[in-house]
Parts: sequence; C-alpha cells; structure tokens
Amino acid sequence: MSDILYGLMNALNWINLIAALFSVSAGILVGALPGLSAAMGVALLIPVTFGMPADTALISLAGVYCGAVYGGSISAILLHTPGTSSAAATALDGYQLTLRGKAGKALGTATISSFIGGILSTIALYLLSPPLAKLALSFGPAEYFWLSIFGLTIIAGVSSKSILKGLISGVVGLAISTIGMDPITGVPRFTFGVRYLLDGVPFTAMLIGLFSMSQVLIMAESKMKDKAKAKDLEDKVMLSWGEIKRILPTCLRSTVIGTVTGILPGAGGTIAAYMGYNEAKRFSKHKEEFGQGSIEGVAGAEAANNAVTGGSLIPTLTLGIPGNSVTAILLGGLIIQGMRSGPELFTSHARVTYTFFAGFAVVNVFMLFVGLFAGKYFAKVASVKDSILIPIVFALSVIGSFSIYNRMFDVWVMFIFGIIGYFVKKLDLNPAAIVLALILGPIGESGLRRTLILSRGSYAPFFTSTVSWVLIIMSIVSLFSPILMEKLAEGRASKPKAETNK
Amino acid sequence: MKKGIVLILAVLMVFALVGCTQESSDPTGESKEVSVEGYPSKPVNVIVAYRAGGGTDVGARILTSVAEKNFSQPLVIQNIEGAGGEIGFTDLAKATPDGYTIGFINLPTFVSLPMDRNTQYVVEDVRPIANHVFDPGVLMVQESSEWETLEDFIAHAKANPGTLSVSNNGAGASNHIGAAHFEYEAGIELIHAPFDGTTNMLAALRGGHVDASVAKISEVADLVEAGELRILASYTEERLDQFPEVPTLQEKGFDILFGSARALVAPKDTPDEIIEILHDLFKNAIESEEHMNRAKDANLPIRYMGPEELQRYMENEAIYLQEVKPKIGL
Repeated sequence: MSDILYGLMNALNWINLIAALFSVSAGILVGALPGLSAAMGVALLIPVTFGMPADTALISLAGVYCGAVYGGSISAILLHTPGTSSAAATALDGYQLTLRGKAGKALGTATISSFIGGILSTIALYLLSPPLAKLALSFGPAEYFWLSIFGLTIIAGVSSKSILKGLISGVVGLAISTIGMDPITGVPRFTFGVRYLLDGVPFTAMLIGLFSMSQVLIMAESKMKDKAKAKDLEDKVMLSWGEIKRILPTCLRSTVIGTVTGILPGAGGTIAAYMGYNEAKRFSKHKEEFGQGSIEGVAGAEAANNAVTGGSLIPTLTLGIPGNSVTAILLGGLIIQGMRSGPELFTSHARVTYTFFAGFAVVNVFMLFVGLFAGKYFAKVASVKDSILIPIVFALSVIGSFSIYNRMFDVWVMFIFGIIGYFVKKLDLNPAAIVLALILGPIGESGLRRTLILSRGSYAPFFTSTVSWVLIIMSIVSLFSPILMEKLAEGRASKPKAETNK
Repeated sequence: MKKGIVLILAVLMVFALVGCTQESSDPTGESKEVSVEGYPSKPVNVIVAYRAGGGTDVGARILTSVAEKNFSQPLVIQNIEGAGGEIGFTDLAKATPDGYTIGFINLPTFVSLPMDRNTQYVVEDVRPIANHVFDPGVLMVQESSEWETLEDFIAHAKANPGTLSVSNNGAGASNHIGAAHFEYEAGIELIHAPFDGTTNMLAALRGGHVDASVAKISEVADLVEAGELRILASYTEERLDQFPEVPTLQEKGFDILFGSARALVAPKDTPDEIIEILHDLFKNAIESEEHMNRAKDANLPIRYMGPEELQRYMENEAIYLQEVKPKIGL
C-alpha cells in the first residue's frame, strides 16, 4: 500500500507533471499526424528518456503512448484521415459529425471517452497485474515455449488482410531473431565477427528503422501535396451532461472490450476499436444514427482503443510478452529505466512500478484537458506539409538511433532496417508481425531447449502443467481466429482508408 | 515558421556530427602522447558491461556517485550491455588509454569468457585500478524443499544420479562454474540448466522448475530472509556474517572457494600517473562512511584491493579456471 502511495506522490512531483503534459502533447501530435504511428513516437522518444531520472522517463513514455492513441482520433474526425490505424473506426461517425457542423461534439466525445477508456484500463492495470505477476513464477521453460507458440499463432489473426503475407512477415521476424549468440550455448550465429551483433540486431535502432525511417521513404516517394486543411470549429469542444450520460454505457462496454483485447497478445487497438464500435451499434437505441454521425459510435471506438493501452501493458509487464508493437518498443524503454517483468515487479521494484502506474493515470487526466482545450489546434498541425515533416522525422531517427549507445553502428542498422521496412510496406507485409516474431522467437527457442535439457530429451514435460494445456488450447482457438475476424470485418462497411501516404 | 524548423534541424545535425567525430577519434592510441598534465580536463566515461538497473550497475553507480564528489570532472556511466558482458569489456579494452575511459569488470567472467570462446579482447588488454565488490557464492534450494542440509542434498543426488537440476545464469557463466565444481568435488551428477541472467535463473528455482541454484549472496539475501529460499552452504573460507548458521563447503570437506568480484580497470596503456590518481580517488571513496552505508543498504559486500593485489587475484582466477574447467567438462 505504501508503495502505491509513494508511486502516486512521485508521479505528482512538479517535474513529472510537466513531463506528463509535454509527453501527452507530443503523443497527441504524433498520433494526429497521418503517417506517424504510436509505435514510431515511442521508438523516437526512448533515446530522449535515457538522460532522464527513471520516474520522469517512465511517465514520459506513458504519456506518448496514451497521447498518440488518442491523437489519431483528431485527424480522423476533422480530416477523415485517421492519424493512426486504430482511429479508423472513429472516422466512420466522427467525420459525419464534422460534415454536419458538429466537429466540436465529435472531438469532445472522442476526448471524454478516450479518457474514460484510458483511466479505467489503468485501474485494471493496478488490479490485474499483481496476481498475474505472482503467476509468472509458475511459468517454467515449457510454459514459455507454449506462450511463444500462442503469440505466434496470433500473427495469423493480426494480419487478417492476407494470412500468407502475415506468415511471411512472421518468418522474416523469426529469421532476424536468429542473429546473435545462441541463447543456450553462447555460440555466435550470423554475426560475421561484428561484436555489436552478438546480442542480436540492436533492437531500438532496428525498430526506429522499421517504423520511422521506412515511413520517411514512403512519404518522400509520393508526390508532395498540400493536405486538406482543417476547418474552424463551429461549436465548442464539450459535451452536455445529458450527452455524457448517453455515451457512458457505451464507454464502459468498450473499456471492457478494449482492456481484454489489449491483454491478449497480438490483438491491438484497431481490432478493439472496430469491436467497440460494432457493439455500440448493437446495443444502441439510435441505431439509425450510426454512419450518419452518432456520438455513441465515436465513443464506442475511442473508449475501446484507449482502453487497450492499459490492458496491453499487463502481459508486457508481468510476463515480459508485449501484446503489440508499441508495447514491444515500450518494454525496451522500461527495462532501461529499471523495471523488470515478473514477480519482482511488485516486491523489490514496486516503487518504480507504481510510479509508472500512477503516471499512467496522470497522463490520462492531462490527455482529457489538453484534448478539450487544445484538441482543435492539433488538427491544424496535422495538415502540416510532408516537405516539413520528412526532414524532421529523418533527423530524429538518426539522432535517436545514434544516442542509444553513442555509436554509428546503430545508425547504419537503422538505415538498413528503414530500407527493409520500406519494402515491407510496399509488399504489404506486416511490420507488427515481424516485431512480434522477433521477440517471441528467442523465447520459444530457449524454452524448448531448456525443457529438453531438464528432461534429458523427453517431450513429456511439455504436456504436464495446466498452464501449458491452457496455452495449447488458446493457440488452437487463435489459429481459427482469422475466420472470426472475417465475420467482424463484415461490419466495416464504409471503412475509410487507414494511415499511410496521405 | 520554416526558418525556425531549418534552424532546429541544423542544431540537431551539429549535435549528431559532434557525436560522430568523438567516435572516429577512437582507437590506435599507441603513437599519441597522452597528456597527463591537467588530468582530468573532461568527463571520464565509466563503462558498465551490464544493463542499467542490474546488480553490477547499481554497485557502479553507488561508487561513482560517492567518488565524483572529490573529482573535478563528472564520472559518466555508460551501460554497454550484451553477450554476457563481452561487448562492454571489448569496448573498454579497445578504448583510447588516456584515462578518460575506464570501466568495471566482473570476475571470473572477464577471465573465463576468452577461455570459452573467441572473444575480441584478451585479459592482458586492461590494467587494474582497484577492486570494489567481492560477492561470495552460495548453493541454495527452496525453503519448502525436502533437503534441510547439504548432506540431504548430496545423499539424494547419489541415490538418484542425473535427476537433480541446478539453474545457472548462462552456459559457462560464473554460477555454472560454481555449480559444476561442486558437482565434481561431491562426486554427484546434476543437470545444469542455463538461464538468461540471474533474475531468470532465480525465477526458475522459485517457481520450482529446477531443484537448486548457485548464486551470489547479495542476489539472494532478501529472498532467504523472506523465507523463500534456503542456503545449503557457502563457497567461502569463513561463515557468512549475515547467515552464521550456514556451513561453508570447506568445513564439509569440499575444498571449493568461489565468488564474484567487481573491479575497476583501465585500458592497458593508460599512464601510471593517471592510474594512481584514479586509484586514490576510488580507494578513498570505497573506504568512506557514506559509501559503506549505501553499499550495506544495497546488499553489496565490499572488499577493497589495490592494483597489485587485484592483479594477483586475476592471475589466480585464471590459474583456478584453467585447472578446474577441464575437470568439470566446461
């Protein structure tokens, strides 16, 4: 209990409050800019947080994550261009509201429901993480092997566009993950005598390349043109008490959907937002408004994708298994600041952990106020020209990858993976699946080999524990999830084009 | 608006360039005259070959933050982690020997890595400054386990050869050597399961996925006091101050001494004068009351050694490993 209070007091330190304000604003900006994703924002921010005290750094990371997920809704509502893919469902009704002169209502709904989703998922983080962290000890080598298999089966689910391309992406990630020392014997593999590859390809530099530099190349390739200008708002960014009451049940439902979706590895904000939107429609008393500008539709999508933020951190922190590409990147930043996944999270590292949790709550509050009072200005920035955006992101990518260890090697890694990422996007492969496989590959390999060492070659221990069986069953279910996702997709009638090269 | 952005970018680029030039002025420091006069005239980089927040890093940060108070320049910790310490050790060994890059090494790891694989550094690439920490090894089981004493454990292992498992912090890493040496001297057969680092090695023991573990006392003191783990024996000459009821392996008839030391070293051609300045600085810091109190809070067993003593210690470690490794099949 005292650790929870300590974390709260720590997060309310004025330097941390300023960090929360800045990072949320930066996150909203990144989210609002079409083409810049939450993953990219976090990847670029991590090197900046190295020099900060741990608590400030953790809060800044939380701020960018939450801010970016929310920020996507602003350009979705005002420009009909989702800033991030998870805001695609928001655009369905959000832009209709803008056309009818109710852009302020739409922004207000998005802001308030994002806040509700975010803050309630933070509570889930507080309540569900401690028991799950205790459970982490019961995960032995066999269980980690099955966990990685389960995670890999989800790749089929996240890439519902083309399962084949999703699987190819997964294989690419697994192949890259074999670079570096053998996890059991320490024999170097595919390092070609380069010592900086002994521990595998430098992770953060690789991600900055995959997510940021590749986007620079994509944006630079398409013809530079002025983007749609956001109109001035005709109404205020605020909801009446009656309207808040109207969206509240939708928000609560979507929060549950978002938190649960977040906890499952692989499924992220985009899926949660569509699910939240569909359920809002199903339970609504005003079904006819959906697609014509329903605040319930906006709330259903936004509460869900922001609830994913807290939910997705639960497996990331407790088991060290990130659920999506943003938390995968975030995990790297958290480890550097002294957070450890597993049982120590709430014992010897409890103070750091609870500071991060409290920071998560704080940034959600800031997100509410920044969104309500300044949301419309972010829309103006969202229409900034690519000719200005490209050099900024380019410079940040170079500086960010250099500053991790102050070495040029990482910058070259970043460039190489920028080019790889460019082709990944051109060929319609899935970068999230690559990152997931990169993380899960070594976990699965060492789990398999450790189990066999301990059993002296017998495969029986893979099928002895309850946890193993649960994971096996979940893997089988998830193999069939693409069929489920297809059903879900039927509800996406007037889906606006998602992010990239707008 | 545009001008402002161009300006910001220009400034950022300059920073990047400054970084590059620092990098390129790195190796081949042989012919250069190193200026000893006026040392230190800029911040000193202290390489830690393990990640921030780990045991080595915490110890290094406590010591440098105390030492910095009597040094005219900042001591900047650089965490260059990876490959069991090899990446950071290599960067340290190959750094310009001008006194502006020093670092922490872990023993026996620093000595054993070049024996196990083709590392890009050799032990002679560095010269010692001072030893900081000596962390004795312990053999442990879960508190709830059926083995109350070392004799119970050995008896069970002899009755069921090849069934008891011991987790370690990596194949060939320090705890693996400690466990295998005990296995050899006791005449038993164990399964050695390599895990990724100390935390995971201990998690495997605490979750009951292995039967025992060899660790350093500072890593497990809290868990033992919390009643989760039990120490069967220590790898020390005398009993541990903190746990006087725990027997040593020596008094049980097994002649094994094992522990991990963390020492400050510099690249081998660093001038004597600079080594002397640094040695005095860190000796005073280590022996200061503030440092001793903070080390105690962090469970760090301190043992100062001067350069000569540390040099002998490293040589003895090498002799020990050369003697023991073939016996235990590592």
